[in-house]
Amino acid sequence: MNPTIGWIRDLAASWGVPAVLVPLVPFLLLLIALYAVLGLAAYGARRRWPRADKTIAFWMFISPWLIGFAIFTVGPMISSIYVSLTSWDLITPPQFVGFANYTEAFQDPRVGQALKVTLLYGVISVPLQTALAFVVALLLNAELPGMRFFRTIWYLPSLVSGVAQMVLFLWVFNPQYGLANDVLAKVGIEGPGWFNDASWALPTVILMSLWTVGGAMVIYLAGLKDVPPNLYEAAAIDGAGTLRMFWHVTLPQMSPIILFNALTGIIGSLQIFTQGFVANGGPKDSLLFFVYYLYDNAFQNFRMGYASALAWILFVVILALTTVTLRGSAFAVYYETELTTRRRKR
Amino acid sequence: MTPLRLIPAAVALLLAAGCATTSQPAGNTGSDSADITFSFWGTNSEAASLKAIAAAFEQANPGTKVTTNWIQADYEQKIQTSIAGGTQSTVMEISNNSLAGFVPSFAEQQVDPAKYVQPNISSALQFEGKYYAMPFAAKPKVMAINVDAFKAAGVPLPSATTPLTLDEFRALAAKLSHGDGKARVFGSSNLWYRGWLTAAGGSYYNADATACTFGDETGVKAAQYVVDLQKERSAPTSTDVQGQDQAQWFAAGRLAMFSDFGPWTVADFAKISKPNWTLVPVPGKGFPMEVDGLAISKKATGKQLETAKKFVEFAGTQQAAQDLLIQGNTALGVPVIAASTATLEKVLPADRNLAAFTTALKTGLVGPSVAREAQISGDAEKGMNSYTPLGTGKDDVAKVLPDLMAKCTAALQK
Repeated sequence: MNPTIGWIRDLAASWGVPAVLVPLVPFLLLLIALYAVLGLAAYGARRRWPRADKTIAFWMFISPWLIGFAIFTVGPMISSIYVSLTSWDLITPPQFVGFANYTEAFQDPRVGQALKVTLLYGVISVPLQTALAFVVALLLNAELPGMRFFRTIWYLPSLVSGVAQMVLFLWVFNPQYGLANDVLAKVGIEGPGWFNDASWALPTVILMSLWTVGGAMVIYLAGLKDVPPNLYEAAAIDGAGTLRMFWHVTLPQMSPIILFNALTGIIGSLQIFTQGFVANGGPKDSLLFFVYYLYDNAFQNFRMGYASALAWILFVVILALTTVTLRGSAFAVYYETELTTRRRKR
Repeated sequence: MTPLRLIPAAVALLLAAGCATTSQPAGNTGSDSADITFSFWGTNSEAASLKAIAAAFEQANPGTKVTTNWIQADYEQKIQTSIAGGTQSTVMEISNNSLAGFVPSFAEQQVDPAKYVQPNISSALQFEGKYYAMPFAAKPKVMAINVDAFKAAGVPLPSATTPLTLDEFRALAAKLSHGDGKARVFGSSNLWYRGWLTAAGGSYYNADATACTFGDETGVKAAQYVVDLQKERSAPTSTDVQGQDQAQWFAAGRLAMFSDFGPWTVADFAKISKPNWTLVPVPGKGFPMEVDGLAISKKATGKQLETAKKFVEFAGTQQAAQDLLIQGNTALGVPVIAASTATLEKVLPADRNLAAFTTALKTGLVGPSVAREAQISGDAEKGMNSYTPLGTGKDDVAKVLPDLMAKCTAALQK
């Protein structure tokens, strides 16, 4: 620990500050000192540029977020770049190894398996989730009695935490005592091994992911409520049927929301962890998701440097896929507020 | 000079004060205070034992304070990160299986092997000839048997003191198994390969932990033994017991023998009055025994170090502390000093034969500590569980185990 901080903590303790609050004292003092400096800077800037009042106020008001972002997001990210260039077991001091962790990652067959499993999960589950959530939102958009009840029912599973979901589905898909195989047996089908079978484990997780489409469904529902009714009226006057209205009005109006859900879905699917963790990677590494492998290296194998390198590789993969999706969607997504000419230029 | 020009200097000063790091010890280690902190894992009752030991130490040493830090989950990950952050406790509980990986951050200790009931207890916490933790609890395994099931099958009860041979166990398990489907009664609980490997005379690593040995002739035979008992339906497979509590199966009469019975299981079984049960030794050479010790942070100095040394000595060698390992009918482990080992036996009536723990403690086998144990054995066990019937696979153990052993040895020597 930093000796200055240690000294401040000791001083606070000797002044009778309750033990629980002692760790907060150096942090609060640091903040006060930082704002004293910022205040001084703002004062100086205001004297030099009297017309920049609004700009100075903007930076002062946004500074709490900026400071938090710098300390808690940018700081650890920069630190993890350094850690990825070291060999570090957290117990002995880190040793600089250059790009050895990255070289190893590109030769590690389990990294290949982890990427394969994660990408396969994303490629199959994201379109399925997007489509199902959209269809459910369309159905639940109808103004019928009791619809709020059904909306709640569909949304409720999204409130269940990942581990609880996984434990629940381990029971549902238990080959011996599970609900799924019991139901299949009743119609004369011998159920598969689900999580216990290497070829079924990933499809089972994908199937399970459809249980929580409620979150995306709510966003679609909000979007559907926002589609201007006059567009449907105009289409109806022009003689459009339900399908044509859906194709030419609903879908274009909803395209930015579909893109948003698809993007967050892609990012979320590449960061999937809990299912792999609870299933311990699944049989024959069939549920070796990338983030689970990263965690395994960091906290089971004590290889923080290698795990940090894996984290940066994942960051690049996510960045690349997000960029490709965004660029690829330019012609398929309709923004109501965007000028037609700008859209054409794109 | 305008205030504006002072800003860069002020920011630099602030950053220097806030970010400078030195190799100074953490706030809870190395100060001149005699107060110490103590980290441990465990269930409610295990934590109660350790808190009671800390309180007894404070009472026996007026003026000292032990602040307990009960880590309920992911213990090793949390002490690992606390070590990285320089905020580790002065005293940390550690098992012999994990010791090697943490040795660089533990202080060397002076341990007198003569104070313990058998030499394995102290040697379990040695690494490269030096002690890095003071032993304070052992976790030998015994086997529970369903007395009613034996009587119903007309089979005589096994000896309370002499272990069955593996062949005798297999024959008994077959005789005691009956029924079909979800109502089948199994002669044995699910068989833990690593335990049965030791019972068969094999080991996971060689004595100096330079090679893995679980895929040698004895290892393959032990694996085949487990697979055969599953095929004969004398023991459930890992799929059969997935999500199931085998102690509940035993209580419901679905298991005639429960072979993975540790001191912490006593509390669960104490509630079972029907079927009638008792304890006997684990067949063959028994299962591997875990030994837990108390390590002192390498960063501890001055009065803290003195208090920490006194505390670990107290917890590991004094009867007043060792007796506290048993709370009600729960046991964190078996006490490791002769004066206290019998404490556990008195928790339940004599016909339950908790004395089997005392016997198991005296004969218990302890494997070597391996630096990357979680990774090395974890990878091997994932392979076994994925590809062979020891888990959910179907491949022949005679083909898979030697391959996994070779990979394990390569990882060990890396």
